[in-house]
Amino acid sequence: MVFNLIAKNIPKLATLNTRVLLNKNTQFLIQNRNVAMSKTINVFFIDRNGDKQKAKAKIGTSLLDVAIDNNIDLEGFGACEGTLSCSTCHLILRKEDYEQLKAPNDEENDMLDLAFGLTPTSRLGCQITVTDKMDGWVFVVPKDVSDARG
Amino acid sequence: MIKSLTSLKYIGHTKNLSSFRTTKFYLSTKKLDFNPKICIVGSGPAALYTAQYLLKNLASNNQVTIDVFEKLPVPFGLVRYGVAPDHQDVKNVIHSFTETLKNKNVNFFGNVNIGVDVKISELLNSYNSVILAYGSLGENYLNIPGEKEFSNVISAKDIVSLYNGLPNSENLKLDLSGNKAVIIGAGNVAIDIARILTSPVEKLAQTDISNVALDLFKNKNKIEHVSIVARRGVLNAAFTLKELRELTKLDSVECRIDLENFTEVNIDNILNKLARPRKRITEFLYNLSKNSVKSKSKKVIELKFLRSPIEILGNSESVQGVKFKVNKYNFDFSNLDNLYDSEERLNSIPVFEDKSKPNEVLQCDLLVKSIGYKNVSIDSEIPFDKKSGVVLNDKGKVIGKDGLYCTGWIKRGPRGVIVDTTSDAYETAQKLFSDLTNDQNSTQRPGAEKIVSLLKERSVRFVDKEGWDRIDKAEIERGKLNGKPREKFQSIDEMLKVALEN
Repeated sequence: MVFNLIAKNIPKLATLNTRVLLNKNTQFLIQNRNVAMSKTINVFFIDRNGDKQKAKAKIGTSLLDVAIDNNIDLEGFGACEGTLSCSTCHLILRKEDYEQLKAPNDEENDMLDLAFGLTPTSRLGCQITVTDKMDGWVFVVPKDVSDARG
Repeated sequence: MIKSLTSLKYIGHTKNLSSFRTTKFYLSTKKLDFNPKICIVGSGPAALYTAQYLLKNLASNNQVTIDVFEKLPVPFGLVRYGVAPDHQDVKNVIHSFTETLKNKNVNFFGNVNIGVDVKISELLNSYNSVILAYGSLGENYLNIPGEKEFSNVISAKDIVSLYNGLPNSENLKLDLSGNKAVIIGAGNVAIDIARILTSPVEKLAQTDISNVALDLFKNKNKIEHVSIVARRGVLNAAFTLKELRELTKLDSVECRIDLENFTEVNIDNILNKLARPRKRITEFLYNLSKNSVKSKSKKVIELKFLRSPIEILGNSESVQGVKFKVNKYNFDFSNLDNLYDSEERLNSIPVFEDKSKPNEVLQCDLLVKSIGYKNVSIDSEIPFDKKSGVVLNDKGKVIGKDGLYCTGWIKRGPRGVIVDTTSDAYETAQKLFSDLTNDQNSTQRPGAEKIVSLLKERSVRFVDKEGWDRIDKAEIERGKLNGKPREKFQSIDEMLKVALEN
């Protein structure tokens, strides 16, 4: 709630594809955007068709930002715009990559519980901040959103 | 590398994930020899996610038109009028829906009541495909003595409508001058209402809560004790952990659950057999039962399980209490095997009246019934099945009615969060698209041209997307005056006045 209030009182950070990107980690993002806007690495998304898409990822942004910045076509992705209120930016990581990240907090786990196709290496894209070490990492968009009610 | 990621182990919602389908996620974009005209009845998440899928997959190769019909002058259904005002983050999905509505191939027809102003048969004659996405208009009843007899026995739906400013909700006779409220039902709506009833009014004042509700909460709310009471046991709680955790973090409120709720359940034995979401919520409730501090300074929200209401008590003035029978699980929990990692299996565990326990009475000054929405038919032409409460369909195609489809709550019943509608929307869009491309008899249809002439003939004033844009801008302006993100128009007349000013 405190973070929300802070987030809502901060002027628009960036408008990408007409979305205002506000994040629970907004303060963190501002700092990073200022110091490291220019530095990018490459990451890969595997979309729901199984097609691999390369994306330029700015250090310090979230993977949700990366998907939007690169026009990665992910239907319904990021519905709550990174405010930890939905699970539409659900991504699956490789085990070795997952283990390098700090464990998700309770609030992220609460939303992951509602995601389709939850795996032991699932994360929410909005909660992963891009760092140098992620160069070449692969993020799978779960395709089960389409047949979740089979 | 990729291979290792496609042979995944699932740890939640396993019931839904028996296999990966090999079908491509996107639909093929075959060129049709006519410009398909499609209409959607309703404008909430089910409707607009379906529109998004159709646009993406039909519009690239075809001049598709999607007309969205909405009973109210304004779009977005339960995102606008259901999601609680202090959950503005959830309402962010409106931005993406707004993009969809702004698409040049999409038209909006607000203030058009399908089934009354225009019949389904008229839509079917004018469009290639008609999609029902109007959600759940009705509600369930307790059907116990006293339900209709006493004042201040209120349906959750009416309170939700009141705080969200739904037109005509402002006349609700909701009396908050008493100290105690009981909410029957333990879903997220029950949690929403408990939270709103006990939240500091300064916090609510920063949301887009309706003025009528804000005034009521500011000046007339004396509720300090809320009991949320569920028929089934602690393993079947219908709310989600996010909402429960939020309750426990409110400064103004202490959230409690009594340890007795776990006496039958062999907690240490069963936790590891549950799917991850159920395990986490059960563990959380258990820890809450051990930790709750009995503070006297705070308001209290208390969770009670295994209680079925059998009679509502009151006097000539108002409701005074509810009589409950006490239930028990009729199940040997030492036999719980790993199959109970699905919600279906957990919900199949029977709950019976515990005849060894006397009935209990909970005193209350307000009784809220939060026992679920209910689907209704809006036109006798729709093959609506009263027993199952849904429109009979095969993967979204309405059975026995060519060209008619359904999606969202009217298709699968009133359950789940917004994201759950995406899978429905996809399935229905896929079915519709494959029917459209395979049907040799599909021809050009008149679409809105025909319907607009009918509306004019019948003197129905409708709001187009420019009209909605005027309402939207005006509401945001009004909000600024009060430090709110938006001040909704409470009446349909006001909305129409703003929308149709030119």
